[in-house]
Amino acid sequence: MLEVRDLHVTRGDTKILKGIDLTVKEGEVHAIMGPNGSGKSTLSKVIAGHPDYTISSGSIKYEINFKMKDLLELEPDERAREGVFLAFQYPIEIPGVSNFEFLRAAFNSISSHQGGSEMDVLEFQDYLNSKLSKLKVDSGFMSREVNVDFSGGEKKRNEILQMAVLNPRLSLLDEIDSGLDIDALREVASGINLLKDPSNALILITHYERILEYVVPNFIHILYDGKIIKSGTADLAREIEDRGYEHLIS
Amino acid sequence: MTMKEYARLFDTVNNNAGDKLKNHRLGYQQKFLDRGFPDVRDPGWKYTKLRKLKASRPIQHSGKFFLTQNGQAIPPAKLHSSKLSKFSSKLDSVSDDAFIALNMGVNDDELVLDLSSPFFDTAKPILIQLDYRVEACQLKDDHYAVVNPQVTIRIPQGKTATILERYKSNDQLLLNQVTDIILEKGACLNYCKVAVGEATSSNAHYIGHTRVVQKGSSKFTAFLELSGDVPGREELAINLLGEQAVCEARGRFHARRSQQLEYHVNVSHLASQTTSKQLFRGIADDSSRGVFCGQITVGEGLNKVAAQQLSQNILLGTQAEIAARPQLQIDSDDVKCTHGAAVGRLNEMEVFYLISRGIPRSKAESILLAGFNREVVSGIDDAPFVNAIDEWIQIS
Repeated sequence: MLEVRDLHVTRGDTKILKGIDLTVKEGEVHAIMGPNGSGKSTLSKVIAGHPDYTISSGSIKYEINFKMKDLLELEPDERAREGVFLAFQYPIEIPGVSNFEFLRAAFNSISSHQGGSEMDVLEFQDYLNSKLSKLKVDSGFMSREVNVDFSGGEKKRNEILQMAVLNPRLSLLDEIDSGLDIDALREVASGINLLKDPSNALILITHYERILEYVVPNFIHILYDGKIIKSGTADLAREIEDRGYEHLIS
Repeated sequence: MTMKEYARLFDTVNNNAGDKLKNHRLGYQQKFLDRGFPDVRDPGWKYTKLRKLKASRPIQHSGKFFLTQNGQAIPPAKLHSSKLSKFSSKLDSVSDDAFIALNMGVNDDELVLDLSSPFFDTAKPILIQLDYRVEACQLKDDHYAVVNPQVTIRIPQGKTATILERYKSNDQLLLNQVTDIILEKGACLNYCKVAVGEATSSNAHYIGHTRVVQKGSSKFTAFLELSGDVPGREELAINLLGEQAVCEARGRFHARRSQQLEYHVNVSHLASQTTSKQLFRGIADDSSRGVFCGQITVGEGLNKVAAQQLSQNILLGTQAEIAARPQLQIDSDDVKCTHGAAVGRLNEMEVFYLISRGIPRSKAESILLAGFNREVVSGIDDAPFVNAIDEWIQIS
């Protein structure tokens, strides 16, 4: 589904990613771990098409209609309509815009691109209610302005709700666990597990092993100084938890 | 040329009036003729483009107010009260504004609402509309119609009311409007004024004035909107005369093409323990221009005065301009006063958040601008009034 090859990325004059290779297949969960400043968030943002970064070399291929296409040729909204979803580490507040209105606009853009029909307000309300109930999210969420006056946990839950509504094929979850207490972490992780299925894939960006106790990855990659220095299975996370990153770096 | 044309216009108006009305008008007419149209050297008129009006010939036209409450038309004949006209005269004696003098000097379309009358159900919004269209065949190209509607509103002691006003205009029309409002002690008014213009040429202008006097413990909440294509200018002057008077003024505009839209707001704290809040937002597209000039004045020897003013603006067009000019004149010590003015582009992080959800950029920008606009109304802490404004704008 996703093939990243020898990806080099800069922001301004700073080189951030220095040759990333990553292959993700349908049904897989990949965790990207690494210390602060290693380039984890940059990787997820670049795949989603964040405009602050420049690709100096390398490629990102993504499967569209059973063919691997150059993802870098697509604008961020086109990538999203092809099923790429980025859950933000710091979700943005959009004053004056209700969650309902925002989600319906996003859903209809994606649905019509993928050959589905757009939903009117009543149809979307029914569809949304099914997602709210699946994720056990209070329906009051929908009339609130997007992320405005949300607690840290509510913001992250809102990202997972968006993921549920938009039903992406490739989800990039950028530190979805940061700032969450243990109960909120369990809720968010449970939401992620409900949305996992054999036709989609997840890339979890995280500092800590804790979330990986609830969302078990197929692969773990350690990113340091812009490169993946080690890949392994779930056991690698426990190794990091016990011994930190230092022993891998040295 | 213009003042001679106006002298002729006043003669025509006076010929059809009785002596009392004529005498009432003469002073204003003279003031207007002496004063002339303001130009860029006059304070507050630096940005307003009146060249086209000055070069064209004015023709007096009369508009008709249409009042409704609770879905029922209210016959204007039941609403007049001579005492209120005297109140407007008092305000005019201190005003040096040429357009107010012009309005009072013609004084043809006058509406007086004294809400002490049992005729009104103050629990329901009162809707005031004046829609004036100049038909293409009515005027020569270098002529324009002048309509001078005037509204005076009095909210009696302890009463609460909601009033929504709307003015519609089009090409070859100077709509020069004045609303005077008195809030007696403990009175409360939710007030909305919307000006909508449709124009294809620059020979059109909307000029509105709202002058408010608040007595002790009164509360005035206002929402103003300038929309459509006609160049527009709204002046809001609020005088907090009595202790514990509170006002909140909000307004917005979205200027397009080469249109110019302006707010000039002047809040005068003339008593202790008075509070004012202002939020004005503007969007300028294409090569349009927006203006916000906001003055807060606090008189001498007052205490516990609080005043806030915020002007937030978004430039969309590469040729667009917005001038935001906050001004403070504080002559007392016990004052909490904050003000801020910002002019910028759309927040790119907000845009990216929306487009990362599959929303095309143009749609994402529209959603963000709608949110920016909506907050001006939704931030009013009175849900029925917010709903009334939304409905009023929808049908405008």
